[in-house]
Amino acid sequence: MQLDSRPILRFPLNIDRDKLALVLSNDTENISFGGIGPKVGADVIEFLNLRPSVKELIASLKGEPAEIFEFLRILVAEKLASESEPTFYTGSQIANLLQQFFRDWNEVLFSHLLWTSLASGGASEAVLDGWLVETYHFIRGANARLSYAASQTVDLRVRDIFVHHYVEEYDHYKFFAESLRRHGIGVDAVERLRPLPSTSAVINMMRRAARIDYLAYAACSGLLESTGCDSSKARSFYGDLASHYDKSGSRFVEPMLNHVELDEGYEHGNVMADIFKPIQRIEPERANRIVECVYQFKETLLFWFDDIQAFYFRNQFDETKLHRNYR
Amino acid sequence: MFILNPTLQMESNGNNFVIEDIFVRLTFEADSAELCRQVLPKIERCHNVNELAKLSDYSNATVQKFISLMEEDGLLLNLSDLSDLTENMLINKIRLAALFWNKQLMHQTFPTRLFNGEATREEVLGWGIEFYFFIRAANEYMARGSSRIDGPTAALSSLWQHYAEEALHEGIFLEGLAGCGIDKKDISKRPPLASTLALLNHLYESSEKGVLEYAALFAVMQPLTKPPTDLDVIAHYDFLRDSYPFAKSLFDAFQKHDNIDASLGHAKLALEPLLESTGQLGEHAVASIFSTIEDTANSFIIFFEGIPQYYKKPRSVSYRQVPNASAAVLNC
Repeated sequence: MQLDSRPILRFPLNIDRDKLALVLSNDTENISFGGIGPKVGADVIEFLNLRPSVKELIASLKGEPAEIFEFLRILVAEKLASESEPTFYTGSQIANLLQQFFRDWNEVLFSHLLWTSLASGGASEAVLDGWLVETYHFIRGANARLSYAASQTVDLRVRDIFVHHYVEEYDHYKFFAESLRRHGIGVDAVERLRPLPSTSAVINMMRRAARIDYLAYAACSGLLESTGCDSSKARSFYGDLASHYDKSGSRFVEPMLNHVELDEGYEHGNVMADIFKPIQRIEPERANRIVECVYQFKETLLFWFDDIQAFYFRNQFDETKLHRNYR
Repeated sequence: MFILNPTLQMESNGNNFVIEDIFVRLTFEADSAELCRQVLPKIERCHNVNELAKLSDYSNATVQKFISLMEEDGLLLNLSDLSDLTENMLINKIRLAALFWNKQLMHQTFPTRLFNGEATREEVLGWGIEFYFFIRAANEYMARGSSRIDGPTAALSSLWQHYAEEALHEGIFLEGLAGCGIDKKDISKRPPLASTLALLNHLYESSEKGVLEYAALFAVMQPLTKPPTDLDVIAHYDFLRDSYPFAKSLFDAFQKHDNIDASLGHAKLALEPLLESTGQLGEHAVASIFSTIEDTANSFIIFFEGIPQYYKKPRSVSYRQVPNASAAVLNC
């Protein structure tokens, strides 16, 4: 490794422990290190985040230069860091990276208590109602994000993909409106009481992505579509919902199953790759911004799940009220 | 529509009826207690006093008096018949709403602990970092909000001036954080928390909706009719510096910023010149102002709640990885 090279850490890389041993983690595993003092190792990781040269890193940290140098070598050998940033990425490389993120993140997202408790029947009726209400707002929100993304896209090839996606998605709220109706919740009341702030936050984050870069929007949209492209899982989840929560035989799950069937035909799970793969060159600064945006979107989805779970655990959706307090 | 203070407690106790929040305790006796028993359970389902009075044994005037008393004490917000309000009445109502929601915000768990000197080092510094992102976002939402020339200059110029005065303030907070030992380059590159982004995106989207919604954002941020005195500001920050000596330079930065804002008169309601120029507003426009005020308070609640959830360990302050795409080639 050259003294003037600027190593870059693999993302994500968290510092989990730095007292008795150095333990780092990414989305799927914990990584323990010996051979370097835990504090020095953690300081190296922290300082690498500022993208210094190896020379600057060694000069700035308290620790044996040889020990730091060896630690850097191991990080690179273990593919936890790269010796330098590439001059550019191809669209295929970014599409493959995003697909890997989506696989890892879907594990985290759908092992959230909101989803597991709905699937097991452990969630209260109030949480089920709340999930239906907020999902209706979210699906209706395609009109606030997909058409907006099209309006912000200067690349006509990509804009055409967004426009087709919009035309195929804009009225899917009707499936969820019908589910609400069958479940005994009036759509007028749902709209009057407005979405939770966290539901708006998810839609707003997508709009932010579209403003930042249409490829950032494509990445966030890809995360959403990746959650729905496994139809057998979706059908199994809805089957669980029906068996646990449809004792009266209202068949409120049916419209959502019809939605799965319709989406299956559209193959929206391929949209992200269709957008990225033909691109020959993406500058690192742009690629990093896309990753930052889709990561923040994943964090926003987790926050949304937390909020639905916590809010409706305490508050039954009450359509007779004219207003509801958030906290 | 009536909005009850979310922290309101009610208790029917023999001949008495007690209504209280953390500031006020009202005890109603005899006939007044009966009025509470009849009116309060229905209040969140009625559009106005007429509707409420019809469902009780009391006259419009009696119910109206009761509602006004509750509203003066911040126990409820009466948002009924808003389109009938004169300009002055509307401005007063906006101030009431701003105080009402600001009170809910500031009495959430984390702001209470923070301003009582009970937060941890990580929480205080984490709040400083996330607050920096909020200040920096002026160049998104204030830039968007003030990017309008459709309307009289007399109404819009104060918005343009407000943005120009805030546009360069992020450096004050960056210096304050650097004084606490946090690297300036690290802070400016790291990603804000999702809860902070929820606030920033709400501010931007409201600014994009319209000029009234943009101006309404500041009602919750600056709800007072008069700016705090210099002595108030000094006492507030002296207390915080004593409570959190490791964050002295951060509170110096806050104090410097508050002093600038006070000297520029930023406690004045940003909506006033706009309302003076627009004349009577329609029901939808007025409702949008009040929902923006409420949504802004809720977005700040989300912002505050995110801080203690994330900033727990010392490394959470000093390290938050800047996302990058390098794994795209590391995988090969």
